[in-house]
Amino acid sequence: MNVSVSLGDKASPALRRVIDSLQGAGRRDLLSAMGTEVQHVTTEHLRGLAATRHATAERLGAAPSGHLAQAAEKVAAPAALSANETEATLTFNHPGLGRAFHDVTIVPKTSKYLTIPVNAVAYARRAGEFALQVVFTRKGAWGLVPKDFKLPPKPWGFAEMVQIRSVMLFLLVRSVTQKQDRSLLPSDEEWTEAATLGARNYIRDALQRGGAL
Amino acid sequence: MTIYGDNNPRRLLSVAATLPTARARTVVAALLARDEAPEPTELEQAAAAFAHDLQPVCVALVEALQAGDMQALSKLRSRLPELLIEAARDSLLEHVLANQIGRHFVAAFDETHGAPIKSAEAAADLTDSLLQWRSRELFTTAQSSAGLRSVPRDVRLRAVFSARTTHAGYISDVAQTVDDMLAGKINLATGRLHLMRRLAELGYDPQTGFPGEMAAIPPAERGSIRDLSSQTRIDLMLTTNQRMAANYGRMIAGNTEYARRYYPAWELVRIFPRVIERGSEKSHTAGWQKRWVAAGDEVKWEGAIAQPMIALKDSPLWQSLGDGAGDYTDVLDNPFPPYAFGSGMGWRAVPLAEMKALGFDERVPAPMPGSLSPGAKEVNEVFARMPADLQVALKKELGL
Repeated sequence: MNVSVSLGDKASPALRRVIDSLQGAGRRDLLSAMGTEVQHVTTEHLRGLAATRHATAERLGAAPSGHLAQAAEKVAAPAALSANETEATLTFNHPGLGRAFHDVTIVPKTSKYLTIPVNAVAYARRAGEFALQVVFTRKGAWGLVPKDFKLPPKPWGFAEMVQIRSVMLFLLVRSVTQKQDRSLLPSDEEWTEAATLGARNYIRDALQRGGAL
Repeated sequence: MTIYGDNNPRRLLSVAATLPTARARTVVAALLARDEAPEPTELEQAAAAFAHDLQPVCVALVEALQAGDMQALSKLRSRLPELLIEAARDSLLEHVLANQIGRHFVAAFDETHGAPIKSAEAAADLTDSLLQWRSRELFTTAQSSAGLRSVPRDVRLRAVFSARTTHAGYISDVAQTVDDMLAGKINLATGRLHLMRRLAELGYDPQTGFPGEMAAIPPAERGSIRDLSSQTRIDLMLTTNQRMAANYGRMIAGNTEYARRYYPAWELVRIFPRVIERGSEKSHTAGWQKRWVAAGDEVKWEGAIAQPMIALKDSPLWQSLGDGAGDYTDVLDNPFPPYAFGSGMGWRAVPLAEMKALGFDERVPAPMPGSLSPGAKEVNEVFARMPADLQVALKKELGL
């Protein structure tokens, strides 16, 4: 997923004239400066979220996986930002950030079910790391429990279901839909402000150097 | 067939020296050191042992060696540096380790290829010593984490390493897994599962190690940090290598003129949450503030302040922190995060305006030192640790 910083309509006429006078490497450096500021504000935004959002881990009583902190590190990586003479591109190479722009439906790629951790032990781990057995109900596959767990004889009542659920590591589902969450990334205004700051810095430096734009 | 007949032994040796895995170098150099052609089965076994992505190159190499085809060898030799450069550019990881320094010597070998080696025995001695030297720089190591610190820092930067791991194939898998994580193809959980399965395929057992393992590595308690297949161990290895590569890149990106001018400093902040943080009562360890003060005191707070933990990019404090100022031994010797094994601390770029508010002068710091090529100092350090016989031989070869 990319966010592009380009010289759009929001530039003031004066800035527009300055920008239009830039050619070649100067134009690329300008866009790189704008992109650097966008990268910075995005990284800081994700870090701020990482420090506060541990809802799943807290619910399960598990250690946070650092998912958003990892996203912040990836956005801060040099490879995430590229610039040429027409635009700077910030690439979000991390799963889950697409939710900032649209609902995301996750479906299994190589198996029938997704495995959703429902136990602290299983959080941030793959089902393949454990020796597990599938629990079936009349509605189909329900979840995964340790292989050495002795399932109670059927038919299961509420008590048996609770007992099984208490040792279950993963729920099995066909798909998961995550609702759009625009707050995962900075707002358009914050991005625009950051890009403008980069342009201002670049132009001020150029003027201080006495170089013609 | 005599390998050392009309062929140029130094060129053959230089080809062997540039092979990107320990196993490859060992096998090919051993073949070169013999005065007879290798058996076809040996070549097949050697080729099968090489990393899969380099297998075609290695197969071509051994075939060329077997046929004494100098033209093919020369062509192959010319391709190898490209592979190394590609590996360095892509990930900073794995293949480049010994080769960066090795290439200095290889280049010198190439320049002196006209001078004949007196005998096959001399070549064998040189090869053995060369391999001894390289074996301390390779990715596979029977050393402990503390032992790994004896490997030059600039060399380790380019290495996927893991203490007490001696299986080249497995290390290659680790490198690929880290690459995939850095590229966003997989997450930690998937990488961990992949390595757990790979270890099972390789027959790894914490008590006995890898089947046929030559190095004497003490048995590891199952599930402990020394158990290569434990979650703790795999997570530590993957995250450490991943974060080292990511932050090395970040350091380089922070060296642009714009970044140094408008973000002249880094702040050491918590990036990854920990259930028990260093310095907390339960951890029974010193916290980062204490380490920071130790590092700051060591460099007389040049370009740094104690609170918040901020230092200019060119402050020597960063290297001091990475070196374990205050006698900390869990460090990685790098001027960039992570500064210790398992650390969740990292960098925040500090804007110029914030630095001014903190009372710093408006000064554009110098770039942080970081290079993919070893400096003369490091080459000299490696040279100084070589066996005496190799030093003499190399000096002679290099005309020093």
